[in-house]
Amino acid sequence: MSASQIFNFFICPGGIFAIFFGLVLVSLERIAVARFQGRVGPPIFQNIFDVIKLITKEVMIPKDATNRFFFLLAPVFGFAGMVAAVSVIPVAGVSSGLGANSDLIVLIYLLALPAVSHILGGSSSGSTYSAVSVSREVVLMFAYEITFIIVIFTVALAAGNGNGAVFSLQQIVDYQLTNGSFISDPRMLPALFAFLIFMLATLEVPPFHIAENDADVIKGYLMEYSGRPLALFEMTHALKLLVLITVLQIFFFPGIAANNPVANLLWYMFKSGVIVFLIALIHACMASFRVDQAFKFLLTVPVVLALASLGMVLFL
Amino acid sequence: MLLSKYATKSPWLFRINTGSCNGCDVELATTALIPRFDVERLGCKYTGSPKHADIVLITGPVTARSENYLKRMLVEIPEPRVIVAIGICAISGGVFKDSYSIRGPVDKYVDVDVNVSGCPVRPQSILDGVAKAIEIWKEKIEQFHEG
Amino acid sequence: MAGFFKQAIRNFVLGPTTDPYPFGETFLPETYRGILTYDSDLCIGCSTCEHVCPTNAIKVEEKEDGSGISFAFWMNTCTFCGNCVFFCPTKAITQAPNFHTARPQDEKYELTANGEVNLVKCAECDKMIPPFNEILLERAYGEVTDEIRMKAALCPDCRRRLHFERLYL
Repeated sequence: MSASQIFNFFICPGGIFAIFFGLVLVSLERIAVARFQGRVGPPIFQNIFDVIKLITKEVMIPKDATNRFFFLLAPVFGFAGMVAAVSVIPVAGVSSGLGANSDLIVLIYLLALPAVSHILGGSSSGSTYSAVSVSREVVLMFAYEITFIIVIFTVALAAGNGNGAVFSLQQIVDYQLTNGSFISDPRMLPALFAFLIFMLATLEVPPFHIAENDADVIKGYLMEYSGRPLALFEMTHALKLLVLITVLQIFFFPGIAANNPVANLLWYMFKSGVIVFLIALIHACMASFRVDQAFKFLLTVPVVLALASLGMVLFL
Repeated sequence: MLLSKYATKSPWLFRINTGSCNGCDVELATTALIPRFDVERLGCKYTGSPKHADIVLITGPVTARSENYLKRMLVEIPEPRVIVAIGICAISGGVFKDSYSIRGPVDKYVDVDVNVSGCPVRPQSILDGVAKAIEIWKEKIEQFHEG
Repeated sequence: MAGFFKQAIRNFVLGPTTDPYPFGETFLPETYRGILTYDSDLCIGCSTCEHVCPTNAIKVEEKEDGSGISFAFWMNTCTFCGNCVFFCPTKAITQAPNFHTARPQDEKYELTANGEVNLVKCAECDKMIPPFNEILLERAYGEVTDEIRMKAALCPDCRRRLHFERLYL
């Protein structure tokens, strides 16, 4: 545990910087959606104020909660998983993450933890809205994890370049820095679209705004939470957005600007902002699916795209 | 306390309709959703769950059928909270004042903090009422954490 | 769905269309029916407004010592319909384009418009009569001369004596 590793875990680019920047990205998405709809939108640090306000509210535990211990413990799983994920992934040119040999496999499990904490919290709430929302969340998890795994194999095989698969994130980044980013490789374009659809489904952005729909299961699994547990859920959502954007950059375009870590950090933040605007454009223009339509869609379209990309990487 | 200055920049609004004619509710919906009167500039957001609410907007005279629901809903909203009565029906019964099924204005069930009158309320008046409620909310946070 | 994309890009490029209130001025038409104002010099105490108000926001009562009538109006029950403005024969009630009605709870009973119409003394004897009103005299006689005004300031008994003296004496 060298001093730079401790600095990377607690201050930057993990820890405090990740929470702060993740919350800024979430409110940047709200501002972008508002501008696309012709409104003004909140100020830029709005989600940070949201988290501060939630710390000052009182915590209420419902009388019908089936398990009070897990009701209060559920948000901690997701938050801990995301803090660990932020310290594992490398940021091109700034830090090299964990540097282990197969941290891509670890990432699959860490990215599933926020959904697990939603399911745990929702089913110990004792409310009918939470129960319906938890069943929808489980159905969607089945559907989008398939796409994610096929895209991971595609990227690992492409980085191996005929010598087997490479499962280390830092080696994928190094391969792209020397041989050109995958976004300029026409074999990988279908995988890029499949990964974008996976990102929208796991972040619950419209058209996949199903488990926390404002129309029928208003607020879903978050219905009975208030105060500090709810603040942990909001921070988990912000960190998940940050992790997914960073993983998208690692897989497809980790270009660096200069040899200076500060310049690379600014270039990374700029690219994250552009991706957030793209997500906001799709959010502002589409309505939401029903859960059976979303299940059928997620089992066909992104899987076909990812398999096409896998086939091209293996045989071309 | 130090946090109360930043905590009041994100009030979350919750709407309760106790039997109103829906005129004031339509005006509440337009204040949030149409681009002309955007309530998100003040940091507000309409939330669906009463446990997430800070500022509660109540419309409608309390009819006999909705009295029970109003009492059960008011227990679920955590402190510190601000109650705003929107429209003349919530303040004094309005046009339906002497009817057989009105159980009284909202005053009888909870301590109201801000009154916004109008029939229906103009959206700019609702923004005025929310701005006044935010000032009262700041004092309530400080009292809640000292006591 | 392509229409939404075009609209979103156009909204982004042209800027937001939000009304700047409460950080700036807002649009208010001149004939907006807002908070009432009451002019007690023009009121004659007919209480037509009390009769047509749908929410009983207006109370017109005789004062206890018999020296006139008092007019009380509570804004938190007013539905801003304009019935009283339409039916008042002397236009004593008007509605100003003012919509700032958000008040804290301790000012709930302070948003009122009150007034009194006091009886005046007859020009010759000591009886108390209601004061005359120009607009009603115009409706009755077309053109109001000074002679009509002089006679309208007398109580009915003095007026009857004046006419008898002029016609028969």
